Amino acid sequence: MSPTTFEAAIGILIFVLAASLTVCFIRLYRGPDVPNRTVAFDLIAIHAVAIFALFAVHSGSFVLLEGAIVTAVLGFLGTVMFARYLERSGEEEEEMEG
Amino acid sequence: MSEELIRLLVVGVAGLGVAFMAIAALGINVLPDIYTRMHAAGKAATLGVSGILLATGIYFWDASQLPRMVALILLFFITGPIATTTMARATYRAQQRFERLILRHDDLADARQD
Repeated sequence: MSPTTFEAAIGILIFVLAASLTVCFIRLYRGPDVPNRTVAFDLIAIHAVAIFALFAVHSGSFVLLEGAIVTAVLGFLGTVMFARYLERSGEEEEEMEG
Repeated sequence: MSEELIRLLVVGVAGLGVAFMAIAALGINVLPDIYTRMHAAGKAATLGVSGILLATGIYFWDASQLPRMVALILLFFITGPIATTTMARATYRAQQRFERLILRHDDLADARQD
């Protein structure tokens, strides 16, 4: 596979990932409640990591991979934080009812 | 291994990963229930991002980035199930109406009535 073909193939893969990210945003917009939006947020963070990695391959500079690592950790922390918030709010409602 | 073969391998593995990511993004829009959506987002996305990071590590083999990418894959394999399980537990405990679940066996139903 020649270098120009390789570059074009990675560009196509980045384009497909961008379309997939847009599909994730549809769920983030439509999701009826907070848990659905949290699932969409988790998937969007993973998509960001994947696009970071493929863009590093496309541009040939592995310095961009630092951004992928930081984005992975921040996405995980954000998801766990949303889940803790959901669980805590459910407990408060039960306490108020009781 | 020649350059051509490495490029072909990178495009193949990354393409497999991108396909899994697209399936995950499709899954959270098509599937009917919050738990089935978590199932799509938790498994397919982990496998997909693992493939893409493995391809990146193979491509930057000369810059010795493969161990870091393998470490990032291990991070995803640890944090992915943790995030999904935490979300599922929070969703189950925070919901108000239980009869709308598409669950065939609800093992936590007995514990809930206590």
